[in-house]
Amino acid sequence: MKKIYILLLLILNILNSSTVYEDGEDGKANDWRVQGDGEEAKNIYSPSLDSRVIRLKGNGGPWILGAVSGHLAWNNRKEKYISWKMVMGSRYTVYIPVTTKNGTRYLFYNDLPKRILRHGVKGGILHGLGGYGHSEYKNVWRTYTRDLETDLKDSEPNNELISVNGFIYSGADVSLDNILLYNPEESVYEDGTTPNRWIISDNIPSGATISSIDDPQGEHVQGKVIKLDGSGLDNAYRLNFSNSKDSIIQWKSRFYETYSVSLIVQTQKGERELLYTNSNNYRPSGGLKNNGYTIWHEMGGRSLIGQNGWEQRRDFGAVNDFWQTVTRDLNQDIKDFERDNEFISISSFEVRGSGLIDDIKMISRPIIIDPKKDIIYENGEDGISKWHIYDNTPAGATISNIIDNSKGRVIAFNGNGFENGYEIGARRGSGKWNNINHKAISFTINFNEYYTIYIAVDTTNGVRYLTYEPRDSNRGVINSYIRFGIGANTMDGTWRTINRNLEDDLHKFEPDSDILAINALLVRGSGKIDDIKTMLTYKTIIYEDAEDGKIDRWSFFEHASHGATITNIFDENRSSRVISLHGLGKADGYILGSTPWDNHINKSLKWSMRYGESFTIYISVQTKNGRRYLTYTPIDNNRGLVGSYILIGLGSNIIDNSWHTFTRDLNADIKSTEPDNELIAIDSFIIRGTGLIDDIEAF
Amino acid sequence: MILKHFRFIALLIVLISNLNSKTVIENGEDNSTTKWRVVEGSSDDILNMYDSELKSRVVEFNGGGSYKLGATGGSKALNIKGETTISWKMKVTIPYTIYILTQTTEGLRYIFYVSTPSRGLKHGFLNGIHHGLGKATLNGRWKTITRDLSSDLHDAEPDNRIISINGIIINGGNGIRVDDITIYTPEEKIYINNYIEVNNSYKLNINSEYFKILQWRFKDFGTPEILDRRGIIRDRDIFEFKIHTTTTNGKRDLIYTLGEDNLGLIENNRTIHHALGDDRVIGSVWVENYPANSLGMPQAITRDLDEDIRDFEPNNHLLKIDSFEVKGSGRVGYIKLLSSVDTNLSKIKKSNSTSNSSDNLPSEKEINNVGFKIQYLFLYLLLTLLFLNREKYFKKG
Repeated sequence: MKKIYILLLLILNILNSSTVYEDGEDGKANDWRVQGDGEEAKNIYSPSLDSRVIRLKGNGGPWILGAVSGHLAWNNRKEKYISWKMVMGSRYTVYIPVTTKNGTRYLFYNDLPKRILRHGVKGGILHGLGGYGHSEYKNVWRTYTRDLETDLKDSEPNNELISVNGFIYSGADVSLDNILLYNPEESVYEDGTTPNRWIISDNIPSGATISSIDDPQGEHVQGKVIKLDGSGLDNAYRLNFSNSKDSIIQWKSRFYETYSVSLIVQTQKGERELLYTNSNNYRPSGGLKNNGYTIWHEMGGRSLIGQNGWEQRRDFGAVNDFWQTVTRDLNQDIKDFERDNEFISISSFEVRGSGLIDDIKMISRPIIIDPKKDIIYENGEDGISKWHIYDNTPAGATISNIIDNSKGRVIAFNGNGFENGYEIGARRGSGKWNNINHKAISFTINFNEYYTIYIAVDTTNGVRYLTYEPRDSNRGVINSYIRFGIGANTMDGTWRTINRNLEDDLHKFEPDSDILAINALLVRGSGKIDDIKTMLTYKTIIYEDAEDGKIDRWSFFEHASHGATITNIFDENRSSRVISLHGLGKADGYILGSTPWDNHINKSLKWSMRYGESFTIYISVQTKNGRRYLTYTPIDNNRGLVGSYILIGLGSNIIDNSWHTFTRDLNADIKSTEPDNELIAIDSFIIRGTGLIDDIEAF
Repeated sequence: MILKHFRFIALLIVLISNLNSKTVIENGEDNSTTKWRVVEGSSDDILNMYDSELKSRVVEFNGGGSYKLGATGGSKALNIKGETTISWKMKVTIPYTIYILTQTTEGLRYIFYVSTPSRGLKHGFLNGIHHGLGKATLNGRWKTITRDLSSDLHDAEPDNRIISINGIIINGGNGIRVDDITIYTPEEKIYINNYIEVNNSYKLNINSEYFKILQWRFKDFGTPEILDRRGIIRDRDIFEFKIHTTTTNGKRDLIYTLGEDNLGLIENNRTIHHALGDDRVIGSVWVENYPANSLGMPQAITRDLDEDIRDFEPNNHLLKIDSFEVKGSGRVGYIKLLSSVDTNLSKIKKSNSTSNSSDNLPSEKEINNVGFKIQYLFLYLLLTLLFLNREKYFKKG
């Protein structure tokens, strides 16, 4: 039987698990400690990343997330890869303190290209990530991914990584995001056993060979490896494979001379060569060559072939020239010199030079759940398997999935009223949602009798049940239950959607406690429930309800008539105070939010208006694609995107001098004309035309 | 002597000319939209097009934006002086606001009209004078609007006077078509030139076949209830104005009361009801600290009775105004008839009475000719007198 030429080994580690230690989305920075000379870490919004991030400022820090050891250490024994995002302003060092079989090690990284395996820092193992002297690396978000286990073994092949404990930053002012540990999927294209898959792509001078041999290193830790043997840099050896799924490559090498690796990749801007060299230059080099076809990165001189650099320890003895692992983020390597380009796929791996090579693999990125996206735990569309009856005394309670006339498929509980209880998620054990990012919940209920909804959460003070009851007042803390009244009228047999900011609710009665995770929702009572979802946060922000009698939040956006007025009046029809805008029709414009709200929390806006004439409303928003004005007029059709204006008709029948309330999902309205665009923040409400307006609220 | 008489004749001609003069601001016949500027919206919103119903070129405004002809001041202002009545044709189904830019003795004023019936006078817009034209203007029928701007200004600011008319702004009314925007001076026939006390009822015989626009003033109907510093009249039946007419379809009574909604044809289809809006029509304003902010400011009502009939009977036409009747207690006065821009009423009626078509609007040629006919009738008479006395004048010269 012919030998199998194509080898694709898919090694699944603990599949795609990841632990996010910092993504900034909680709006806090209190997990960071500063030592030395630096300001307290801040949580800020990054427009370019459209994300909340951590900002570190000061004279070098360091700033510590986790700890080298002790109770603050992550002590993560499960995941071996680290990934983070960083904007490099100037020079830096990132230390990852790890516990190994041989004690504490500091796997550390800086902007040099080279690695120093035995650094003067005790326990320090340096890998350079490049960028020093390259302005292209600066002031742009870069993603860094390191295989901590191989980085350790580059220096100490016989050591073992036991746990990862923290992230320490030292250096110039920086912004950081998405610091996480994970285990990737790996697609292995060479494990040292398939020399026949290779071709000699440059055989001048002739005589070059490719073979599989036993690792000649002292302890033969690599097993079978590929030996490339020819006339140094004159000969080249190529392995063809295709991967469009992953964009991180890793290989192991043991060379006694300089060598280079050339990757042919497809990008959004066409084919490119990614060229990696280990010249003897200490100073970094790299950049675009061959009219932009070749993107060149320097791997760090002779240290890449396993020399120990500043080694001052005698115990290394004659052991030198270790196997070295190279891990490159191909997408990032492209973007370093072609910022607007994107990696699509790789088609070949070519080595120039004589030496040993092994373990060529493509590595997946961490799956990072966008904390800004809601997590739907129940929408009634897939049965009842997520639910169980946690209190079936008296027996006979049932959970069913039924069709409701107004809601479609929903979950129905039938039992002995409040005596029986039903649960989705789990208060304890493996079924917990363990939702650590979200701080708010929404559920839609329909009860004809007394009921209670419990949200099981882990807090810094222990387990709490945030409890929602059909009462008109809050009963507060009773043991681990914190009881809130959501209105006696909520058991009137109609569907009601309840939105709660769980952290705000917790803080009402336990201001010093924070929510760590949302784990389950429990129900007592017979009734129906649907659309259970958690959200990053839930805050309604009322920008105008006119009830204070003031108009100072408003100003003229345009005042063509010089006679327009903004007044706060009582409206008989609405039985509340409202804002009256009167002027020269659309020639006069009025703005609420002349200082932009910069609201990154909410995605929807609601307002009420009474207009007897035409108007134009502009919601000024920041989007991924720049400034947009969501433009609402009383016409019957949408007219698409015109410049920065997204023209949406609210219907011509609304200019009838009656009050109308509008609710708009601004992100959906943006996507209606630009599917790839995203709302970043809501800034202001602008209206042209004469009429009355009230209750402008973001939610 | 002859010079003296020529001066007299010239003066007379000028007077007659002014009396019946008109200035056409827009009639679409230049096949252009360049007179209009965009305040809000796009220049693509404005179209000059042929309207088959009107058989004339017209201007259409799409998108519900705001579009201006003329200006509040400067070289772009129309600066039309002496004429203070405006007339335009429009066809619209979407609420609109139309502003007439005027310079007055007290400064710039925007006299503006909306599709609801109410008037707010000062309305919260400090330079604005607000009158409602009523919901029947949104019925999608070509309709001629005639407004006595001096009277409308007087409703809100009795001591103010118009110096010039400088422009017009069409605001909203997505899809509105307009034509024959004309400033002119109507002929008037005055019946009552002061206020008279009405105690429950009053009737005035009109008996006119020539005019179709009736104007009257009134005040002091009802006792306001003060609410939030503004007087409110709660009683919707505090007055009723009724005009008895003869139409091509027979006798019709036009009645006008407080209220938002027109009832249209009622009482066996012999009565046509129009709502005049809420109680602000009796003289309230919206600006709380406005000196005249009290109910009881005299207000003028100006109604094109032919248009009011056709709102609910599109194929019917006014032939004769018989009488004017008031129910309620208050003061009424300054009752007069105004000529419309286009017509000797009876002539139109005669030409239209032979047809049941709703599009029997006069052609552009007819419109332009009407004013000249009246004007040159007088001129002809004068020249005839001159001719008959030619020997006397030439001999003495």
